[in-house]
Amino acid sequence: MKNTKRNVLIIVLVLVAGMIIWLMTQDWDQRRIRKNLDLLAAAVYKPRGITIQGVDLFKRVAILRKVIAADCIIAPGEPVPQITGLDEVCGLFAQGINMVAELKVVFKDVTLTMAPGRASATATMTAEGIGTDLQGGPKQYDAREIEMTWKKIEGKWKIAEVKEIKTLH
Amino acid sequence: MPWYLRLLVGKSPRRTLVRAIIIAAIAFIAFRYLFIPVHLRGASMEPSYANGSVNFVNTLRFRFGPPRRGDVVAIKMAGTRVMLFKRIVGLPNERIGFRNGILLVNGKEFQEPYVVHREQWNMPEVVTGENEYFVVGDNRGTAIEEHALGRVDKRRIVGGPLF
Repeated sequence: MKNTKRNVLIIVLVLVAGMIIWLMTQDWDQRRIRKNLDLLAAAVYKPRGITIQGVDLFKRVAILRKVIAADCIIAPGEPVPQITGLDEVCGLFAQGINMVAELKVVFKDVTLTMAPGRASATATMTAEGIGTDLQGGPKQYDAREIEMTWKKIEGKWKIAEVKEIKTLH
Repeated sequence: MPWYLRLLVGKSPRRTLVRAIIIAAIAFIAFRYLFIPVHLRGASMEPSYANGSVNFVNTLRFRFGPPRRGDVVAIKMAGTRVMLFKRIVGLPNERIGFRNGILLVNGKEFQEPYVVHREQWNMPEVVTGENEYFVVGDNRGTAIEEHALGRVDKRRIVGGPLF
């Protein structure tokens, strides 16, 4: 019985020590940025047959406001024109999200590099978009390599700039 | 031992476990680094590679020799989870262009038997760099503006399709 108690205590101590080491070795800034990317992908996700309106639309716009900087510059490349400023991003999203039947954006192969001082970070990734138009045509697929600049604004990580990296030039 | 357990773990569970671990390790290395499974999306390489088909990227393909004209290559984007499948039509230090849908290599017309759908593409000649290839899809049935083609750094070429 005594040995069992001692063994349980050892296991608990090892688990606690492991937890502390895990917590100490985590890069919390990187985790927050990756979480924001997940939030962004979820905000623009539109399942087939759903119209995004009312409270749902407000929630999604609120997420965009949470993860995108007010003076952002978004230039994902042709045929999408450059978008400047958070208000323009939110306006275009609110207008355009119901102009597609379905939309899914996935960020893959994300590599994050923190700048010295940890006030900004650069993320390179492949953004994959799959969608269909309202006419019910075939699924459209687009993938492009992008570079995202993130800035820490009032303690929160926000997207300051998005630009396309040309894989073929 | 009941028959179903014996069927599952064999006569010697320990040996079966070791075998399973070895097979899992081999499969992990093979499908993560050597033969990367890919699901093709888009019609850019039709009819050679159909939209929606499944293939593997053989990363050993160009380990023992550089890619040649006509080879289909997998080009990594930010990583290897999303890659472009394209055909090499231009080698390093060559002039590549299109005139009325015909490929021009160093000013001379080049016949491409793998091209079935062909629009009247026109593109002024571009010169590939020392470490660059010119790649294009087989499906030339769309406008050139809608097709992803161009020069690619050789470091982006991951391998070629397995079949």
